[in-house]
Amino acid sequence: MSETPTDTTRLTPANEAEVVTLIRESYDQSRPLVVEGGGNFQTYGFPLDPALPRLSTTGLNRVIDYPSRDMTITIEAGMTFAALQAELSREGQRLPIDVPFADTATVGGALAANIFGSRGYQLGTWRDYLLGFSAVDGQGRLFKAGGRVVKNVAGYDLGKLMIGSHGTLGAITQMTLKVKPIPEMSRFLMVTFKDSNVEPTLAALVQTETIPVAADLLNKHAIALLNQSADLQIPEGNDILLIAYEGTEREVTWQIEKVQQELQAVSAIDSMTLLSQEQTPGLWSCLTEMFHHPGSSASQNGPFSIGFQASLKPGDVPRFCKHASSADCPTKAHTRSGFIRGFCADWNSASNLQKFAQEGSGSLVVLSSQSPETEDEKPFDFDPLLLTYMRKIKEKLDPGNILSPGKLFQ
Amino acid sequence: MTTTPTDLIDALAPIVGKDHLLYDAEELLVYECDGYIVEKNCPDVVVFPLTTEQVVEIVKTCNRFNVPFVPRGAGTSLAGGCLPVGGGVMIALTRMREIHEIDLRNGYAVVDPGLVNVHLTRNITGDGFHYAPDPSSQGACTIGGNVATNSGGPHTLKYGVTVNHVMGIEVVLPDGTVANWGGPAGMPPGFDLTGLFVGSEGTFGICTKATVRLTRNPAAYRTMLGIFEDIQTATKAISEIIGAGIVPAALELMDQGIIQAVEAAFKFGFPLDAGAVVLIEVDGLEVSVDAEATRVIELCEQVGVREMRTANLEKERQLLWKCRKQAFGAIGRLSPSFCTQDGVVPRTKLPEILEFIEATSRKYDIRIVNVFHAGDGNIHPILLFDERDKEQIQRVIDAGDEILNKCIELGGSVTGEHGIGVEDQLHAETFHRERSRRDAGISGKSLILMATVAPARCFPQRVPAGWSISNDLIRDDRLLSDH
Repeated sequence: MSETPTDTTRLTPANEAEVVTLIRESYDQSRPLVVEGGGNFQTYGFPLDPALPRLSTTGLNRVIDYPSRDMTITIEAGMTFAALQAELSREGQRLPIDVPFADTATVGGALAANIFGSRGYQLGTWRDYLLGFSAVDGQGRLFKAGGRVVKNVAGYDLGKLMIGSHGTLGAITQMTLKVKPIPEMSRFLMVTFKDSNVEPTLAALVQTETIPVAADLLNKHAIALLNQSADLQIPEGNDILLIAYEGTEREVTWQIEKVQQELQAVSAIDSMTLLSQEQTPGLWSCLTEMFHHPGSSASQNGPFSIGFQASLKPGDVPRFCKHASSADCPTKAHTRSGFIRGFCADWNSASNLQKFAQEGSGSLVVLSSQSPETEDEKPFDFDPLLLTYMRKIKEKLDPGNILSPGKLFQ
Repeated sequence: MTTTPTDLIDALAPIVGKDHLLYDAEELLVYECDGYIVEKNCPDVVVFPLTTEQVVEIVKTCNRFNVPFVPRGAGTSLAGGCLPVGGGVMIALTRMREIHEIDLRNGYAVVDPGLVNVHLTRNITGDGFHYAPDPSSQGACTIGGNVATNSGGPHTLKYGVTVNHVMGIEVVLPDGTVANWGGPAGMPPGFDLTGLFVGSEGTFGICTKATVRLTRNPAAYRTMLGIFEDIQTATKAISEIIGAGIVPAALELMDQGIIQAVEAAFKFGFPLDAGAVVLIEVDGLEVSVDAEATRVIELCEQVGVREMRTANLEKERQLLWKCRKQAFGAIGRLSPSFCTQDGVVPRTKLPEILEFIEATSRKYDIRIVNVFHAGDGNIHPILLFDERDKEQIQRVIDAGDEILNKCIELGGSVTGEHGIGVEDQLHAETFHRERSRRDAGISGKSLILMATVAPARCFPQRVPAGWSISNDLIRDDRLLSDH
């Protein structure tokens, strides 16, 4: 957030019971508050009054149960993402979701903001890993859904509601997640293009016999940002496609050879280069971090003060990225899922991209800590019926409208 | 049975045409239950709409006459998922079976709710794609039914259950409003009502179209059969495989009783003296499946597998899967009636729950056989009985109760993939009450109800005195006050 509230407005309960008490008191006194983890993803939605007290879950950071042979873990939601991965790595496991600012971002916060990255299409997002949770609703009532087993259809899947609810429905206190083994190896193949015609390559990749864990398309403006962040010296003329593979060394090597054979016939491709083992961790880190948090990292992102995330049909990605390029907006597109992150210089430019996305049956969320400049500009455009039901759900879980009021809708 | 008002039939007939409406007592018998035969009740009328517009008109008519309605797919639920408790109008969606769109470039299909699950895969398999959720009943069950119950299947161990493959839905809400949530363009902003709807068992509305993800076929499979002296060694092998970080495409266990039934039916060559067999399939890249299969075999050998067989030919693989998927059909050879439970335990607790099932079988003198998704810890004990013997039915219900209560005690759940239906209502109540007691809080289950399309089902609540259909969110305070 661009404004940093003073520490006196930050409440850090040490356990679930304290979260219950704090929210119950706030409800009784009709005193709104902002539920957050590390506070890294608060640019989503309408800006909130910076003077509002913030309830941070960072004090809830214990591992509750880690039966690694069951491939599940139950943790308190305020544990940082880095601490979770460190715990899992001791058993050779990980949660394969790409979350930036892992040292401060909490697992519950990343889930509430539905943060994911390049591996999302092939390895899944929070929707695919959350098995159960506990949360405290807007009246200070603890509730739970799901469980600790990998399959469970007993009751409504309220976990799906919490993902992407941005702290407006409750404060998540505990969660059980599915986990996966850490692969032996990870490598990137970088594809460069002779011109702006990337669709034949992306279409060919749909039919590949290989199983890429990521296939990210970066436009020239994004490449410039990437080159600033890491010493990769990527040519900045046309788009590049970064295809990632993970697995055993044999699997990765075979797939990189195979995909090059498959793409050989695509005439628009200029070159295909296997990036080195040494470059790989840095590149993953750049791809994960660099399209987040525009509000407080203006120096890193140059003139781009506004971020966005768009969801499109995968086939619409090239057209959208071309359009964004013409407006000088950097974009990083997950080409398999059609999810795009990018930056804009101002609200007007972001709104234009939002309209463009909607024309192609997609959607775009503008991420900014600044309020829109005109009435036509808004962070998102909800379907009216969806909005009706979102309001009803909000009213049931937070009848006093004390949890981040006005963040998603008035 | 209550007498159906003629004017209700007169109002419904013009909507679907009189050939697509049933109300004769004899014809209604077909719809008195699904795969859960312990409880039965006939609807007053069954209607077969062809379009979303017809579903809307039916729902509005039901509202006007203040009668309950319940949607039904193919009726393959094993939990009474579409039992018309209290009668009313059953909306059978099996005439709505069109595939509206297949878009391989963008990886999705838009289908009608009554489309049979496997028919979608058959349509796209030639292009190298499939629809991943594969319930054992996939040759008959419908995608709308799968959406309602969030169905699983053998290959959901690796590929996920229905909700992981549904990108969007068109639903007719309880007041007749048509809503479209989600869609082929990734994740739209706002609450994930698609995710919330999947598995809501028809209580939020009726799914009239689904946009589903299409999955690339794996390049290679290796299908193995581990033959074990006893069920405990088999579950130990399963635990070792999962614990080693291997996620096979499927990991299915069949015990001796099932082996004998499927062998009699399909003549695969299963050893009749084996305590259990485990069907293990690994899939993925041609370059990696052999190494993974070898590792699986090593792990099975370490725990003392009697014999490992490999399906070398596609024909053998298909037959093995036929045996597994049609195991329920073969049970008819063992007893006149059966009741399948659907519990889940942490995977490492499989040996414990199976020992408990054996003890329960002895305690109640009810034969129980097992065929289940072992890799998920999702058990399906099948209780064999004769439904003509009321005393046996009671023992079956009591034995089933004990097994599901044990699942809860072991940290599991009362349903992994079949849904709550009517069968699990009491267990769901126990599940959530236990949890509430433990946590001095409220259960997620009871927290919000969006609608009451099938008000006597799904919720651990009493059957309301009057059927109320509302699209308002209502809080189920009755359950809270029970605590």
